[in-house]
Amino acid sequence: MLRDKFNKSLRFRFLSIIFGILIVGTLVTSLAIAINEGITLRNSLKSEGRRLASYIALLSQEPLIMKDAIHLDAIVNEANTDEDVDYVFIYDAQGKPLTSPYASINYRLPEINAVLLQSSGNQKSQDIIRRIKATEPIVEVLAPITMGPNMIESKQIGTVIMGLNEHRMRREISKILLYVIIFNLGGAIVLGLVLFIASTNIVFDPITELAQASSRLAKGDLSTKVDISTMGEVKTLVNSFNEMVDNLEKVTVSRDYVDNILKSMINTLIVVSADNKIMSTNAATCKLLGYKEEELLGQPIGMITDSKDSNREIWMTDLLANDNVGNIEEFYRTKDGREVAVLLSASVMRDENQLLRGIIYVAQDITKRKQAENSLKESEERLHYLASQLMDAQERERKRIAQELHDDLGQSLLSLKLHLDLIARTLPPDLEKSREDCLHCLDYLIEIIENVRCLSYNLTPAVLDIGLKAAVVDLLDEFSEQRGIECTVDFDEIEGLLSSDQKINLYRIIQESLTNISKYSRATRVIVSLKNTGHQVDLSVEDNGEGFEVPEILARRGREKGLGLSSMAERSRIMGGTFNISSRPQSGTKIQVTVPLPGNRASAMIA
Amino acid sequence: MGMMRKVWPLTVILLFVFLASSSAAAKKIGILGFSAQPRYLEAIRGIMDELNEAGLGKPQAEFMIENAKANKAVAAELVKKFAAENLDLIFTIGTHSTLAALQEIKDVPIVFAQVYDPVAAGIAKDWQSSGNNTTGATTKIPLSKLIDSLKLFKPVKSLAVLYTPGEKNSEAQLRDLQALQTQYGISVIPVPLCKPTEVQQLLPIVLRTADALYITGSNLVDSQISTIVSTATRAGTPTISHLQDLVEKGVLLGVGPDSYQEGRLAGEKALRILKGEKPAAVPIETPGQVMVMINMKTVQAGGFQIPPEFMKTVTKKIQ
Repeated sequence: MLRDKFNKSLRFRFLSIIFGILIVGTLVTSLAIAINEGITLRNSLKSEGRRLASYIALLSQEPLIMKDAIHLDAIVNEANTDEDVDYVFIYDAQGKPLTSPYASINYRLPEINAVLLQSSGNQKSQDIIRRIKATEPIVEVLAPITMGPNMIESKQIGTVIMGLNEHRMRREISKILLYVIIFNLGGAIVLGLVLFIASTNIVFDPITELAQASSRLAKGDLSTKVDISTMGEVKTLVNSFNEMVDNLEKVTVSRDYVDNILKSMINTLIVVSADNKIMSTNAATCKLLGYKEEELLGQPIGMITDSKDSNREIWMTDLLANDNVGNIEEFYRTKDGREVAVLLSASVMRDENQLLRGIIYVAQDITKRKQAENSLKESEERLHYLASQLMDAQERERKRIAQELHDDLGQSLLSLKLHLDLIARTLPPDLEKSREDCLHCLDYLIEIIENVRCLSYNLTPAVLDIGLKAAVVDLLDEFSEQRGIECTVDFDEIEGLLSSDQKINLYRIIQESLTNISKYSRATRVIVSLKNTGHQVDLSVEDNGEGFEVPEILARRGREKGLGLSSMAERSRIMGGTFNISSRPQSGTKIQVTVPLPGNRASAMIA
Repeated sequence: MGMMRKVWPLTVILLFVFLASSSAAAKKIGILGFSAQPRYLEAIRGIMDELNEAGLGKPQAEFMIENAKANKAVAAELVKKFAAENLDLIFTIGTHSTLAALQEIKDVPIVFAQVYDPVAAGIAKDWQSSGNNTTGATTKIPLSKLIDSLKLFKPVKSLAVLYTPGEKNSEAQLRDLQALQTQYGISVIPVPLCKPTEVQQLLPIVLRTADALYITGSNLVDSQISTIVSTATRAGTPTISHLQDLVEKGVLLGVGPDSYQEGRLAGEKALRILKGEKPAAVPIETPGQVMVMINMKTVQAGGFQIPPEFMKTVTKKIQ
């Protein structure tokens, strides 16, 4: 296990490479030395052999002439005491061996002895030489034996053939090689160890330490630090590692911090990649949609945002143009298929090249608010309905009262007047006083009748009977006469365009406006205009009175808020039109009402 | 060592003889043996017997007997010692001791024994007259006799000759054998032996090819004789020598003079000189009687078959 680990370790490989190089170097050096030594030693062996052979030739000269074979044997036998010499034969001029094989061959050498022992009984020296040559590394040298007065005139009388073996030479080379190898290997081991120790201290220990630290770091131990003294690039590496750990710790801590914030957010957060896949979410998202986080990650955002009511395409264009959009009412689809109303903000993440990297959606569940809005809307509608019913009832009641006043009370009073007139006329003259009283009552009664008639008229304007324009002209005439205010009417022909309810409402608005003018404005001039623009009817009542701050009046609550304005607005709304009042102190007041003609309805609003 | 043990008592006896005779103011005679080889001692015994019978034994003559212990330097020293004495005659046993004496001493007659060929060894000019102060008895027999005998034992074609280069005695025997090659149709293979170790190195190779082994008398061969004989016997190769004592040491066949007889012949020559003859006037001779010897132990050890024709010629069987 440990060995296996060591084998795989960097330092083992390093050590192997160092030793490998040194061993190969040693072998190459040894080979070179062996070859060189081989050449040198073979040359020296040859020259030594030649010298010896020449000397033997010189010694052999006389015994050869004397045919003293024993002397020649003694010479070659003596030569064979040299361990380099395998054999020395002396031949005569005819090539016949003169020396005994036992004198000529150095049987003292174990190698030669072995060869001779293995050979058959053949004693011919040529065969023995051949056999020795076949098995032994032999360098053969020849020296002529000459006889004569000088070198030039000498004649060859014989030959010395000497075989020198390379055993000693090879032993020498082996010895040299052994020394070289021992020395080199010793050097290699020392050098290798020095290199190894040095590199261990400088490189491998720090790297091992770094590797262990990295391993600890990988397991999440952010307190990991490498504390080791080293130098050079390794030092830079160690420092960089420590710095990296520091930064990682900071980053991790801040990431945890951000994660915590995101987790504790009430609003949902979804980060979507450029290809619309969900990259991250927070707990609020999961809680709202009923998904687990892993069910959302990697899924297309469309899974939760697709809704038939979505305006996504519209605001997405906005978002891509402006990099953010806010307060969009959207729907998220939950896991169980419900649609949840959310108030959505989105912003775009871009990289340094301004390329889209993703979109961040932050959304707030507005279901409750929506519900509240809806109920408010409903109650408002009910209120409008009640208001219109009320006005209808009011009109009907007014009409009934007017009818009653006119038909019942009026007739009764008329009948009473006739009766009283008859009484007055039939009253005896003596009863002048009574007649006068009666006449007095009659006048009074006539006034009552006139008042009732006026009341009845006011209650049920004749607008429906004589037309809106005539009714308004009538109203203004009376208003002008009673209040001394100059009134101008500017009416387009609209009789066939409006319903009776609309006409009554317009009439009532004008009536209410005049009441307000007479009450508060101190105006001297009123212009009432009714224009047909083709698709709607525009009514405006404008005075040159004192005017007022509109928001101030509208901000009043309850009864103090001019009931007149509210009812005017309500009437406008009932007609499906708009109501607008514009006024400023000392600048008069202008009330504008629009009534859409059929096919052109808009919701009423107060501006 | 065993040999030395046998030799010592004899030396002591000789020394005793010498001491006993020293009192007489007669002849002073020196005897220089190159080594204590048995055949040398036999020769000395022959000399002493011859002198004794002539009345020139221990009491009548004064003897100086020295052993050079097979060392030429020692031999030279002993010769100087002899030269210092006023000797009447010197016996030299072996070629080396003779040559050593001849080099130093020119005025005292030298009678040698156990020399193979004094002419070849450069001791004497001629067998009839040495031409100097030497004469003596030799071991040289016509080697043709030896070859005849060998061929009778076994039809040999090749004969390996163990010799020691530089030893004149040894070289002379080789030379004589070489001269006989053609005549007898044998090939003589010279086998030079310079060191004792060479015997073991070379002998197995020689025995592969040689039909028989001739052993010349040399000090090296003498010292290695048991090895040579046992190796050859194991290989079934017959060994032959002209020296009696080598046969006694295990050489299979021996054809040569009796050392004792040679000693007596030398003694005879000495008596003639002591009577007044010049050494140069006394011819050099080999004893006429040639012995054919066979070592029966070696025969048994090697399982040799002895032809009956050969057996008839045998004069001495060594058991």
